[in-house]
Amino acid sequence: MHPSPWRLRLLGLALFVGHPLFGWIWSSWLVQPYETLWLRGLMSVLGLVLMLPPVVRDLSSRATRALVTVITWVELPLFFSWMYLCNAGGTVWLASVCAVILIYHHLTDWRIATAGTLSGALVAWGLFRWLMPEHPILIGSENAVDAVVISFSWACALLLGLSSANLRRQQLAHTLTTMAIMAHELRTPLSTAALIGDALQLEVQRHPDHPRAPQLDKLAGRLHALVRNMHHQIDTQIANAKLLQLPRHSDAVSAVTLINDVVAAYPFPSSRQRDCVKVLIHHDFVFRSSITQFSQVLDNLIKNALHSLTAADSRYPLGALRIEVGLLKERGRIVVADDGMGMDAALQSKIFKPFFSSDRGTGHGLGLAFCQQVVQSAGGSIQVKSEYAVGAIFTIELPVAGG
Amino acid sequence: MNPTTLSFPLYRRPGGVVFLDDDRDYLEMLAEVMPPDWYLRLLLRPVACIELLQQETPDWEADTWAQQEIVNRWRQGAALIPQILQYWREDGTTRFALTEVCVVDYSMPAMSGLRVLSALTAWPGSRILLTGRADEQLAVSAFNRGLIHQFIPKQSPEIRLRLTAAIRDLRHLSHARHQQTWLATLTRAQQALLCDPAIAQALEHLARQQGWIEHVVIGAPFGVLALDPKGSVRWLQLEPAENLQELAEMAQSQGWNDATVRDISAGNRLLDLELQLTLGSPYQAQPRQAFAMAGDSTCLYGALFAVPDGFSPGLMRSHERFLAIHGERSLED
Repeated sequence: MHPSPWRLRLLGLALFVGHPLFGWIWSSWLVQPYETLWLRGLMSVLGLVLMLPPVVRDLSSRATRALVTVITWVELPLFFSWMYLCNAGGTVWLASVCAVILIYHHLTDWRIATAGTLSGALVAWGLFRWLMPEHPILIGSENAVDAVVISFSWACALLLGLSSANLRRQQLAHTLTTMAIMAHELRTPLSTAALIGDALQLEVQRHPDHPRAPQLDKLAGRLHALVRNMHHQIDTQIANAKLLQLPRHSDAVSAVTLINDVVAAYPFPSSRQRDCVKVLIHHDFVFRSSITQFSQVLDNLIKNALHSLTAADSRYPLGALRIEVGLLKERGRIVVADDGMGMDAALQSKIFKPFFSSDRGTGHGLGLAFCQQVVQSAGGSIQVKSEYAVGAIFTIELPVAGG
Repeated sequence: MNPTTLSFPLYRRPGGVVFLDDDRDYLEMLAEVMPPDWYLRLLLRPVACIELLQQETPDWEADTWAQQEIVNRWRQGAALIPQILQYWREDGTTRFALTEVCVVDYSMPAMSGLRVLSALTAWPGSRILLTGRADEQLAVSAFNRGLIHQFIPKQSPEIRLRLTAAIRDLRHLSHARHQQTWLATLTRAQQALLCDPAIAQALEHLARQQGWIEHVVIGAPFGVLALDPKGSVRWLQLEPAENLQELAEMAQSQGWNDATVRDISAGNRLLDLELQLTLGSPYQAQPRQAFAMAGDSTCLYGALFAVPDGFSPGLMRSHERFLAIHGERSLED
């Protein structure tokens, strides 16, 4: 499910109101063999829990996610299996169980839904045998019919889950392709802008004595710098967008050379930002990866760090952005550390997922997913340590190329 | 002899450059920044580009054949220089309009640049693919298939300089058939001299310094007949060191004084006796300052002679005049 505070509140409300309502329907109006008011009350209260402000406030926290998972499990497979058993099947509860299986698979990942449905049914069965030993157990042909219908709805639920997962993957691929096309479409106008800069400079060369000539030349220079910068941005985005179809390469890459090249080529927006970068070399090492892709990884990390420094309103002192190269326990280490905004612990596990961005306004959240993909394909790992308002430290560990 | 080892092209002339791109702004800015002495045509529609270049193909054929005929007649005894001068005078400026380089954008809505180029197999000019895609694989395979001579990414820094340099290099090459045509007039010894990198470089330098826009290297007599932007013709007479003595004796027999004869045999001055012979009676040979074509241990001497206006195409048939009439760079829809 795509959690949002209002969706969760609505779900809670539906449970809170729905349980008493259906309790009344099945006990007073369309009377069923078994109905229990205290259990209905308990379920209704669980629904209320989902609407509590501490739960709704931070949907990404681990506690909230666990709580929502447990409540869903209790409310759906456990409760409905229990009611089905206590009512010895019947039209109402067979239909309800089938609906619940579909709903459950729709709400959550198919693996969790499968495990949840099985465990819910088993727990309900165990409780039923233990608490209601005198109740009749379903037997005979009616039982078989129910089993077939339930299996059918379960199979449908799995199939639908599978196709929607494919759909999601396809959508992601489409989005990435669209981004790449857009980036390419921008090339020609940018190239035109570069030519306008050239035209200005040629004009200046034709009239070098004009009093405004140096100013025009300077403006043309700025136009060129801007174009270079934007081409660089496009290169970064295209490389990031290609993360699903990264070709594998194995160049022997020297960490120090790579970092020096990347830092030298990086289009820093200002000289102050350039000067705050400090490269510390403890020990060079060689690893196997694609030079272009790995340059992109470092580009992304530098870009994020600068962004974070800007967000923190940094004055860019020397060393506000540190890049260290060294060896630890026979593994190469590249550390990119900044004194910028940092991020909450809760976000840190997610930032490597595609389209997750800690900053919804500006990032699109592909950069770090790309980094992780490239680092992992080089046999390494990337980790982040960060504290809000203190800064972030990205550590890349890589196997050193033998020989 | 492999003609490609001759780095100084045997025949060169300025031709047109066609740009095909679906982006109007881009074409207009290209028109602003490309060298002003290039004949530029700016096309927005792939179909128009294909039509234009395909229509040129018969003209190319006719022109190549006209040059071949000069050499054929030379084999039958007609002198080369008067024929070349006549070819220039009769052609006027039509040969300058033939497109030499075609620069095509890869991604256009109507048709991809590669499809345009593959429709132009008969057109003999050089092709450059311009692309905003990062897909180099595509360009490499196009290059291997012989569809393009150069590939330039639009995002390359200094795009103007890269593009200008690439086009200039391609314009400076001889077409294979021209090269083949004129190679036939050179003896093996002359070819060997032209293959010397130092001599080739000296010739290239001279061509730039003298502002030649068109030239043809011939073997009989040995030298370069060259045209400047204003339609005046120069003759660069080339004499291998071992021929100086013979030339000096010829000068003596024609009644030139001893000082001149001595200068000729020492390689200080050259006399254009053969030019006089081919151009006929009104033209008088004159001794001119000679220069060594390569370094100290040189084996080739050269001297420049002006061909009289009566033989030259003149200003009215010059490249400058051609540009004045056709030089306006506007988009062709």
